[in-house]
Amino acid sequence: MGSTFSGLEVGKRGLSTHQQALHTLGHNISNADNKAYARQRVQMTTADPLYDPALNRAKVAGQIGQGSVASYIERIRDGFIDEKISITITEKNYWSAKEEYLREVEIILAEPQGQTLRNKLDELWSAFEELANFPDESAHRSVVKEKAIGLTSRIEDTFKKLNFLKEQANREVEIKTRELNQLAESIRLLNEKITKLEALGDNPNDLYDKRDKLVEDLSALVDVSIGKSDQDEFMVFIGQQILVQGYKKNEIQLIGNADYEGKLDLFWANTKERVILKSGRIQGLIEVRDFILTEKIQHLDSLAINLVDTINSIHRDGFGLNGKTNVDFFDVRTLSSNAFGEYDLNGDGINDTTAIFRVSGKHSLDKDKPLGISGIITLYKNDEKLTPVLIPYSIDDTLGDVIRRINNAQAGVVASLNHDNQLTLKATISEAHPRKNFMIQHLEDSGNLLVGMAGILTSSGQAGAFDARKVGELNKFQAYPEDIQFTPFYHPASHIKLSQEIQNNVNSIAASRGKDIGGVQDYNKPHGHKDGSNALLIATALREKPSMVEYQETFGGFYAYTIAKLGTEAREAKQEAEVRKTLLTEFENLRQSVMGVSLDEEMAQMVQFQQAYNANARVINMQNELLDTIINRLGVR
Amino acid sequence: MRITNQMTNNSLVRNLGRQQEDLDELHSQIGTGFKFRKPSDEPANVTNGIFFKNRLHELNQFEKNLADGKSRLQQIDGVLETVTDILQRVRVLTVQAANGIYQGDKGFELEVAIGREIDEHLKALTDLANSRDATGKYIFGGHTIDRKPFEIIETRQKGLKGLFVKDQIVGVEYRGDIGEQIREIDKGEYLGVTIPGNKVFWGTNMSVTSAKDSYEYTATSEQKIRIDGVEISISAGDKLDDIIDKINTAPIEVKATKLGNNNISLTTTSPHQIWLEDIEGGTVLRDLGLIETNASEPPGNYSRTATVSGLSIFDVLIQLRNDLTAKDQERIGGKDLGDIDQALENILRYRSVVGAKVNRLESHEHRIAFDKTFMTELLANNEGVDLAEAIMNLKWAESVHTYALNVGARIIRPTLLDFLR
Repeated sequence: MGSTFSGLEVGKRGLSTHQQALHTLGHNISNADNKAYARQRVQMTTADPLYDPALNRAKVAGQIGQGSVASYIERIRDGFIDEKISITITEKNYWSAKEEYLREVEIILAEPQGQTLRNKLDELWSAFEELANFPDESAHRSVVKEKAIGLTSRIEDTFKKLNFLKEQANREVEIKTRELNQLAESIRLLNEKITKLEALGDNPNDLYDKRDKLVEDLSALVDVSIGKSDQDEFMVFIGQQILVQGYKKNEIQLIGNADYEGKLDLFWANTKERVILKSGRIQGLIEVRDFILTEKIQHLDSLAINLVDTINSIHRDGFGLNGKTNVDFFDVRTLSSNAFGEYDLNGDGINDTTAIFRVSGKHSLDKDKPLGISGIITLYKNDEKLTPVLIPYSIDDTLGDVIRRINNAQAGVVASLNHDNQLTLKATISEAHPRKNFMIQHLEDSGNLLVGMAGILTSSGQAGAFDARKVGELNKFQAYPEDIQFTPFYHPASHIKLSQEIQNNVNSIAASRGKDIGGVQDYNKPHGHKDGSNALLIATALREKPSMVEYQETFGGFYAYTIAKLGTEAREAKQEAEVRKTLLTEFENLRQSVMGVSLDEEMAQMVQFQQAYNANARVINMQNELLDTIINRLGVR
Repeated sequence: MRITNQMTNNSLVRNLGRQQEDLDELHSQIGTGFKFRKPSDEPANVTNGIFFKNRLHELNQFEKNLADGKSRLQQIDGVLETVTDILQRVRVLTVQAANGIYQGDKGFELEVAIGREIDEHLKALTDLANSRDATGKYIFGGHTIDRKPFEIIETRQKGLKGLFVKDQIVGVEYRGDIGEQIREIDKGEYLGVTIPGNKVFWGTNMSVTSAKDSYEYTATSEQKIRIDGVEISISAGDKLDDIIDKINTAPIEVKATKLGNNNISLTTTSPHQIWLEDIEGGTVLRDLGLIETNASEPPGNYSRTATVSGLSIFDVLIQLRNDLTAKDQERIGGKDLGDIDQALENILRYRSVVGAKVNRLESHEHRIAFDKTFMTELLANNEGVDLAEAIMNLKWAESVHTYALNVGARIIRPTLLDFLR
């Protein structure tokens, strides 16, 4: 015979188990709308039955069940889906960062339906055409001045806005990195608690949920992965580098790079090594800041300096209504502060570079005549390694062929014929570092093309070559000083202005051409006042004459190129982000399907548990009656 | 698959959100009339749109240039018409004077009547030559507008018998230059819309003959000369024959020949005033004896030793008037008549040139108008929204949205709770 009171224990155990089940159910329902919550189920198992194999077991039929026990609280969650979601979130945030900033750039540039830079350029062109029609009228001159001011203001304004956007991206990098460190710290603290609880034999399910949420938040910022090798040590990796390892974490710090206008980069505080990121919002922001926005700003800078240089060079050769000549239309602030174009590039206090943007030859040339000479022109690309590029030319080549060859080689220097049909060589945006923008690196000709024919270099061969890395290189040129334009000060788009002379006196705008009296190699006597041919030359250079802006032939072509690039980049970012968003929704649905709380389910279960609880109470009642019979009725008189 | 409440709600919200996005897009399209608002919506179309808009802007400007050019040319034509009338009248008078039908007492009619009339015509022609355009600037001065193109030179001399003794016009000097005003009528296409006065108002062919024997002459270095505004390069070592060849092959209406004394002579092939210049420090024309050594600007720079012949229209009339005073009937009927005929021919030639240019401008005008329509259409197709289509889409999107709201509302409401006791 078994123990008298054993039935009670079974009942009580039943009550307890079901109470816990109901409690957990209540917890589930309470968290029905918590996205980060994984539903929990009490796992009921039987209590250890009697009797264990031993010599002192009672001689009754066994084993007798001893009721139920809530052995552990199960958390229903699929770690694999979590991983997929993490990766998708990382990629989605990477593309979203790009999408958001590119959209802002689109808004700034206002194409196609707003008042754009293109409108301003068009209006300036029209103003010069009208000036060519009426070069003697002050009214038309004032219009040219106003339209030019309109264009320069717009360029400066666009630069400011783009630069502000860049700084905003930089600030966001800072904020997100701080968030990153905070999340890492939170994960570390949770790790501590969880390890302790696990050691005590508990299932800290809610803490697991919290930790998973933190990891998910982290994945929005950087590309994280979880280390699953060691059960006791929860590891969070960024790529191959450890962020959190159990109780320990590695701090990430931001170091400003003075070489690149103070942009902030991420470094590990302990090893001072760079944090290698592949995806996530922070990486997206870094790419926006360092590549996308930098490129757009450089495009604007190139537009500005090419505009200034092209118009100035034609303008200087012309005459104003008041007979003035050699007047700059735009002010140019140059990098170099001395007359030899020399500059201190590495900041050690000694001039080490000759910074030239453009040089035009002395002689007027015919584009279609065979050269009659041969040789090789050597240029250096303005990349990190200064790769040499060789442009050969032979007797039957025409000048047009050589110009095309130079431009197609994309060697950092572009060639064209200017308004006087002189060969003009211009520098482009640097592939190495923004500080080296608009500097011709190297000009060398083994033959006579650049020397005697075009009138640019004084002598051929290596000895006569111009190299930007040395000082005093200006004397390698035989070109006239006014045909050499020094490299502009950084960011020409931020300081483009009409010259003081033109602002004060519109009659100085050089609409007429002149002639060279006395053979001084410079035009010194103007044609009559009705001559608008210089204004026409400026108009032509703004429109259809190949002036070469970067590797595009005309200003219009260059502008269209930048807008097309922006459009495709923005579209790609939008589409990639869209794809990830849809994928994310699908995965989250899948996850919810596994770990989400279904109210109907819980309701049904609640009825079930409640009935079982009632039944267990009934069992206790019954036991009570049995005991009552034994105690109060058995053998009582 | 197990569905939870969150999933149903998420689906509903997501679908509604997507529909709202579509509705918003359609609203924007209909509201603005444009298919896209940012380059990222349709990068290729936006790029095309930029090119179309550029072209439209150009076409508008070229239209303006064209209209201005046409009105100028038409004004020139008007002036030339009046000049023709005057010259015709002068010709009639010349023929009459030469025929001797006016024999009267000591040729009174010749001197007084006809002479006076010629004088008036001379003044009229000078006024016409100094015509101004709509903004008050001289049209026949080339690029010079700060002084009159044609300046009358008067001296006191014995007046025509019977006329008040006063200053007589003895010459009309050209003070303008040979610049042509050009208008850009299409990308890279330029048209001159004025003619300098020393071409139009020229009567006979001109020649400048040097007195210098240039047999030994060799050019010492590379130099440039400019004749009638066209640059000719002279290389080092060129002799007289080489220079004559270069001048003859240049695109100018001037012919160079070598005369008996190895002196160079330049003659026009159509009546105009020859403009000679040494530029960029060269001295070739000076060395050949065509230009004065310390010369001023053309046209007053012919060498004093050179023989210059050739008459402007004014010179022809002055010559006629003087011949009338001298009663030289033979000259009147011979040389003078011939010169007047040449002058008339020249004017007619220029009238046809102007006429041809006006024709070209008119056909160009038509082309530009057509281009503009075409471009506008292309642009509209490129970025304009088809309203009918968009409104239909909007209606459909709205209905779908309503259905979704309806169904969604039904699904998310009932739970087991509603049915448990």
